[in-house]
Amino acid sequence: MIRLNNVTKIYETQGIKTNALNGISLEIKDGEMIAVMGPSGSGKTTLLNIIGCMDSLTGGKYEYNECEVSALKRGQLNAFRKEHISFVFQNFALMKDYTVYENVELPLLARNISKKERKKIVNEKLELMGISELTKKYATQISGGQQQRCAIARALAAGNDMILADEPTGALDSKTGDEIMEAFIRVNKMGKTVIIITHDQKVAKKCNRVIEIEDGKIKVHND
Amino acid sequence: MSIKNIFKFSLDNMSRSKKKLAIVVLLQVIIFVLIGQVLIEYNKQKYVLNKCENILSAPAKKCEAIDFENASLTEEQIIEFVKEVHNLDGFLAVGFGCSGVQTIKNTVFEGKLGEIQASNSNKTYTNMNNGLRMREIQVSLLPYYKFDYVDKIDISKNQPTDTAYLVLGNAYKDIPVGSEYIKELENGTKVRYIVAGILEKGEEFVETKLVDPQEIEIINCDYEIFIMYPMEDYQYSRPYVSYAIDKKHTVEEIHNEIIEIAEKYGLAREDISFFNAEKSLEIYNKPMNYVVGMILDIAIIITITTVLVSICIQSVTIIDSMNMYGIMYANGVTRKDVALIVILENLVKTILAIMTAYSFARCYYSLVFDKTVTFSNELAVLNGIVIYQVIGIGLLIMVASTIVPLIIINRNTPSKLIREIT
Repeated sequence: MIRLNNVTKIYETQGIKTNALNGISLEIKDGEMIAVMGPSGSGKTTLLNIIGCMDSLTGGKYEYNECEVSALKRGQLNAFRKEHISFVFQNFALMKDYTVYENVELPLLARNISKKERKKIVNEKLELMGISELTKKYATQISGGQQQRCAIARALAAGNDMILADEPTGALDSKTGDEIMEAFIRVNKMGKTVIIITHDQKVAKKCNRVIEIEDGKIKVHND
Repeated sequence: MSIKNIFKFSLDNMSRSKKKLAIVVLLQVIIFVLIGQVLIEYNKQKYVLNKCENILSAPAKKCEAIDFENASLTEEQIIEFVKEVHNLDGFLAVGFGCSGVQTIKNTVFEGKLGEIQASNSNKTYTNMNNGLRMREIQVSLLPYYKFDYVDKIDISKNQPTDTAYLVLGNAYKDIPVGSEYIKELENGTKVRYIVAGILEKGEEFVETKLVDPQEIEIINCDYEIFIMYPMEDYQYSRPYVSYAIDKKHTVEEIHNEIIEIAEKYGLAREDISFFNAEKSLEIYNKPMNYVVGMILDIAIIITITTVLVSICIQSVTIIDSMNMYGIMYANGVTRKDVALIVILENLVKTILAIMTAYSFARCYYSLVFDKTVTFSNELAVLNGIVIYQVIGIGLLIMVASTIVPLIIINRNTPSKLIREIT
């Protein structure tokens, strides 16, 4: 379970302070699928970065199960992220000079998985996402929907229990976006916690819970 | 991440971004050409100047020069002065300025051997082969400029037998630098001639090296004659050529004699500058100083080149690199692993760049030196410089190319790197 207690995040640029998160308290149970909505600049991505240990919080407390994440040092945060969190981005964040197979293989290389095991996992995840025929294609040679499936396969390959997605359908057409959401639902049914940042009501409706943020605060909690 | 995987990523990143690699190498080559030209001129001048001085201050010989440039003497005064100095027992002072081919021709071909010709430095200009107008004081005591003429000249008739000669001469293609000739005069005096150098450019002047005096074996001769010719460029034609090789006189004695004569002609002590043989010898005997100085000079230029190259390379590749690191972070690669990947990638890239740049540099330098004045010694040294240069540049590029991304990685939170790709 993720537990955020009165979390604040202040950015300071050229002496100007900006409150990106202003006392967020939140609980996310294991295996939940949550949509985080809100206008631009409301703090959605900051929240995702804090949960994903990509950014440090200024105040408050962040706990994951029994671990106080907000008290971890830099190296420990890296290890925590590596062990628990995978990301999916709006622009897919695939390595353009690498094939689909090699992109999915990346987190496994980072975890020193054997070659044989890597092959098994990568093929399994690609098949799950329905892109097993694209293994030898380069990231730039496949469609946006296929790239996002590849990115989800990569997130799954890491074997982490939490997937954070920042506008995963934002760069896709409606039909492809629906297909991607179906893929996320399948991932969620596998027991993974999925947190999706979105502007799209259609996407939000497919999640178990919707959290709306405005000015760095939680405005509405909808089950 | 294991070392094996880090290495795999380093090689993959480099080999797959061929465009990036090509741009890096191209930038290096372009900047190398620009800076290389400066380097060539800079090192050539510096090296040759130093080398000339070293040769002229050959060890175990009394080596003096009289510089008339500061003295306001009439032509007649100069002639008288030179005659008197020349007629000193055991001393001969010659070679004020660059005498030029024309002078040699006049003295040798027109039968004016041994005749002193002099002119006021303010009046005489000689058009050199290369078109350079050169102010000069001509003092031609030129029995020979080619060995062919040695037999036709009887030194003993023209000059006192206990006088040694400096011959301003040229090595021709059939008489390479380093050639020597030993002639026994009628009175039994042995004279050894060595073609010590040719720095003149022209069709018939083809020699390419200077003889290092330290490499010349000292043999039992009464006199040794170095056949020297000053550089074509004015800056190398300082009137500092004079050899006093009579072993009976000390440098100090010769100085005193010259000063004494000079005073008769109304010259002040300050009007005569002596080539400081001892100082030159000191430099000559400490080659490491010269080498260290040369390396330091080159290091400055290398640094400038490197900074330019690095800025170009980083500006071309930084966005791609940051994207890559962001993606790696997001997928569990640690900061330390990314740093290792960056270092290894740059190391491999640097080895490739050094190989490319070195091949290029060799071609470039040979091309340039084939068309201009060349001496094997200089070329050897410049080849050495090229090696230092390319390795130095390569290593510094590597350091710079590695440090910049590492600083960016270290100063930015993962979220900032991730933002680059979202």
